[in-house]
Amino acid sequence: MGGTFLTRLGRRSVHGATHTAGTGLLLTRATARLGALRIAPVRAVLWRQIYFSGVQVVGTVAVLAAVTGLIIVVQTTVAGAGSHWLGRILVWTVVTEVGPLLAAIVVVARSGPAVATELASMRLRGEIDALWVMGIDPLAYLVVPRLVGLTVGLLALTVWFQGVAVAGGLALGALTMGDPSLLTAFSAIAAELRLGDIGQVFAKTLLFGGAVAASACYHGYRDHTSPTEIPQAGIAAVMQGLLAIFLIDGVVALGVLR
Amino acid sequence: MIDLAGLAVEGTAAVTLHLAPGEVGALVMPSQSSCDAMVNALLGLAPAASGSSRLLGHDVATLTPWEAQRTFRQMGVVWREGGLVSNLSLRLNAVLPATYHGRARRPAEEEALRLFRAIGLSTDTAFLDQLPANVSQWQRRLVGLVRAWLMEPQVLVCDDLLEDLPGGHTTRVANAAVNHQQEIGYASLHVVTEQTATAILSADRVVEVPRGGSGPPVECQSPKAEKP
Repeated sequence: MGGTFLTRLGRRSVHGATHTAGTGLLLTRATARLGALRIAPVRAVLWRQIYFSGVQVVGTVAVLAAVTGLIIVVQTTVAGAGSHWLGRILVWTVVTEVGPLLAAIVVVARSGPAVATELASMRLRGEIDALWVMGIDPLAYLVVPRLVGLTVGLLALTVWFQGVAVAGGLALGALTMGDPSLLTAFSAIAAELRLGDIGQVFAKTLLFGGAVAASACYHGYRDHTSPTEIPQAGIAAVMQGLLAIFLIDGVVALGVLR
Repeated sequence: MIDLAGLAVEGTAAVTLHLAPGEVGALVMPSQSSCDAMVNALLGLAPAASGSSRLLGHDVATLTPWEAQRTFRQMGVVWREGGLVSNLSLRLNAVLPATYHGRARRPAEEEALRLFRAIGLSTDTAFLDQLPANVSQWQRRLVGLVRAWLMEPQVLVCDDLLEDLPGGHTTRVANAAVNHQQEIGYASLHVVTEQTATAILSADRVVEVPRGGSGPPVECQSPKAEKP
């Protein structure tokens, strides 16, 4: 029994290490090909990916952000915090923590499986081989624009989430609680927000985007032999993407503590 | 241009064939699956059961990724299934490799339309804007043929180009293929299942490949040479 458990644990660890190494290798190889973005058809894929990951989802993210902002405003106000503390709490939670994380979760859940299953289907249909024999580097044409597009899309979505959560949360809070003084928290937010916070959020979001995109591309692009592996690629992309963003967030939080 | 030295795929005998620039060759395979396997083997996409394949002077088994890109951009490959990119319209598929390799999109599209007309494909926007999944296999294959032609290849490899074409299209496509090949002067290899296709395509060299273990392939006299 114990042996079986240890065997499974060992197998899963090797499995996880293989995928992590494969994702890292793919990320390295794609990064070395960033120059391919100069090629017109590659740029066309890039724009489509930015549109799909960052633009098509703005409505849903706006609702999520406004509700998140409202919850924080209401809870903080009910706890008795003044507008100065409300501004500080909004910066700590929405701007530096919840905004990047929730935006990344939306991208992991939506774009991650889409990219992974699309690439896996292309692999199974022989489209990647067909690109290869046209002298088109599949990594440059398929992976590079998805990697960059998904990361840029996530950056844009994070900024959108933060803006809507703060502005929408305060506006909805003032409206539903009948307290226009809540709007004075805007000035506290402006005073609380430091360049270091913005830099940290930017760096963290870049890492989130890179990790989510690389895991989605890796699970889609690697060799597949059966159609049953297509949904598995989507699931693996979501799970690895979620794990990656929470680990990155944890590491960044520990870094801030030091 | 194309050198197959004892190349065999599982279940077929070995093939030896040399095609010089301007020549048309045909391999008549015993089945569709052996056609696909042979195309994959001669392009180095799948391991061959035996033998080797040289394209434009390069052994495909030992190509580095950089050499492969350089070699393949001088080639056109037409797949039985079309080999089109599933999320691009037929119009964008046709010009993808040409524009990827630096050709301006508008003139490439204009030439693509001319070639579409030459082989009897519709040039209506409604058709050109379709995704590959929404058209039939033979239409995807013909879009793949136009895509290959737009690469201005030195070598063209076709996987059963004329298979299942609707009435009237077979002759039209074959004539267009012969005319284009003569105009550009590339070496062209057709991997087919029907011996009749070799005559329609005016092959200079025809090798009928028997199933594995039944002896070496016989190089037939070309249908073209038999004409008075």
